[in-house]
Amino acid sequence: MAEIDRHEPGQTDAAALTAVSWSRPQLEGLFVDVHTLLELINSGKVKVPPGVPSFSPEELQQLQRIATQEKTNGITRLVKRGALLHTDVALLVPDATDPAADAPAVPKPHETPIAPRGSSIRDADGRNQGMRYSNLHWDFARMLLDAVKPDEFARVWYRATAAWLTYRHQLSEATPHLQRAREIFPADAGILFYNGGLYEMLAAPRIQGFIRTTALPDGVFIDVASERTNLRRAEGFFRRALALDPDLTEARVRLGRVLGVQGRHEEAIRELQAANVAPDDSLLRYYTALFLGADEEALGHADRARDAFGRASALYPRAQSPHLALSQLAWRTGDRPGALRAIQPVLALPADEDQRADPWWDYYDGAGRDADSQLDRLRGLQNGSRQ
Amino acid sequence: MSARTPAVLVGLMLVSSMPAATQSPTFASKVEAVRVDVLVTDRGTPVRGLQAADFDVFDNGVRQRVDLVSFEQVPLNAVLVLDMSESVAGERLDNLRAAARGLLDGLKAGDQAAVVSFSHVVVQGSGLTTNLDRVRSAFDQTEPRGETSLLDGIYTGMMVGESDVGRSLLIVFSDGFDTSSWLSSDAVLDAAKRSDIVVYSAAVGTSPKATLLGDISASTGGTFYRIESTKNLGATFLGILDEFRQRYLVSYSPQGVAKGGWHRLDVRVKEKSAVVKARPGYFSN
Repeated sequence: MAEIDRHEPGQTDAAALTAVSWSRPQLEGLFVDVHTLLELINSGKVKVPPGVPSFSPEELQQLQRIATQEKTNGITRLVKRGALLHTDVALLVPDATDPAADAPAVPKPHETPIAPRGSSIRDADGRNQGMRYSNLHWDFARMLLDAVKPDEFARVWYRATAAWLTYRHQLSEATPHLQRAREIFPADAGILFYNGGLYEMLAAPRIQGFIRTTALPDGVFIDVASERTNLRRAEGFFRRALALDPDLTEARVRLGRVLGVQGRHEEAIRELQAANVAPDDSLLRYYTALFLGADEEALGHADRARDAFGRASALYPRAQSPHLALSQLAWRTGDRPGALRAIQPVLALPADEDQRADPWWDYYDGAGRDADSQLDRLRGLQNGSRQ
Repeated sequence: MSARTPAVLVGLMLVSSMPAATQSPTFASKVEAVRVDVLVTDRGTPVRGLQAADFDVFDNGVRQRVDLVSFEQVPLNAVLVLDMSESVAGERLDNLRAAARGLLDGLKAGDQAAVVSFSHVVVQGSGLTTNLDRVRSAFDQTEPRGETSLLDGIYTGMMVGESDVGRSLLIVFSDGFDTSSWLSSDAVLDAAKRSDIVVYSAAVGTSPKATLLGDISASTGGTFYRIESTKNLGATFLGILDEFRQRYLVSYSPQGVAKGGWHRLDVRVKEKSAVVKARPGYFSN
């Protein structure tokens, strides 16, 4: 409670650092305590789930004292500030609950009936970097917010954290996170959009290739569906988001792309052409042009494909993807000089990545690129409520 | 602008709980003549001394008159396409650089080399040149980082090879699967089938890249090598160079076959016990 009160949202302050220092067993114990405390505040009763050791009379007394005090202060304040503390720990120190010494070769399944013990595997450029437990701070924050009626703060919290998890490739954390977000806010276009982005990323070659190539101990497998299944899920979420908010332009662009990847090029072109991208949004215009080019090429419309790739190239002249696309298109249509001409800009590009902006490289995680602004909004909501 | 992070977390389910100036003008035209790099071996040993009359070439089942067969005397263009993504860092990088240096040392006067490296970023370290020091310097300067645009790298390497009328050998090394290319595997395989370049490839371990690299190599008449570690990569590269030098360059002007589409190629030699390796076909535009 003291750390919750001391913590300034968004800051790596002493309270956050204290929370970071808690070991996994400490956190799991605390999880049970807080779960019980929230029950006490909300119902006045202690329901100890099976498998959880009973509280001693002294512990119960202490919990009841805190519950009474927090009831007076207002549970919403405790819940929101607590959620922000655990969020900040998870954001600022993502590996906080994953000390190497605690990470087993094969993570153990749930050992307590309350504290979740999900497991994940880390990949870097296709290499297995080892297994780890999920970050319990996310579960903490969700549990706290579950204790009160969902409001605008919770909605913004789910949006902001989902964006961050997507942007930072924390896919194992994002999956249950977005599932819970959907349960609470089934008609929120933004949350449905992030769900689409998550499943689009799970269908990406990076993830699917990793699944196919990674050797795991017996009895363990990576809990990610096939490319096809994830593309269909992504399509469904983008469609639902657009049904709620037809002006969600990026959802339409991404819907167009997932349709194209599934070979439904006519549908893809319809969506991409319908995307009302703002003239000054060069990033979305780039994606739209690049994807349109691919779909037109697939349908044998070489001229239209060339025009589309050319538009993408004009938007980001130092991006390699449109030049490669133009060259390959020319090569495929027998235009050897054209293919060699179109590749020249790629060959002439500097080696330094900092001088090579190709938004395609950031496409998959790009669904969450507004994470920082969403988090600022979230903290603003909390600050506003304190005044 | 990049938010790229080196790691991705995915969830687990626990089941228990849950050119050279010496080119013949014949090869300068990519339209009229079809040229095919052919390796002929007998019990694993390259067969030398074959002449045009020793070859039977069938284009879509129609026997063709072989115009020219050359062996060894044609300088080659060696294009190295090297994975420089993050996973190559460390010992693999040392071995890769040593292997590439060894290959350059094995080239002859008049041969050209180029290097294309790729992470998610495709970089032409050096275009085709007889100045091999420039090529050495190019790959010595490249440091591994980022993701893997294997397909984009292979395609770029093919275009570097195609930019010169010489006889091109593409050597691809990768230790990872593609994670970030724009070009699709179908597009690059298609491009390989439309190219005269012979692609040899080597990959560490087993992965989807093995199938892809195997398909691309096979479609060009090259060979894919699956290697356990990069320790012997130098020997692999030199073996590729040696094999390539043993190949015949067979050329013919297609007769009696319609232009356009996929042309199935069948190359044989009169010597029955010989094994012939050549690309299985080509696209005609």
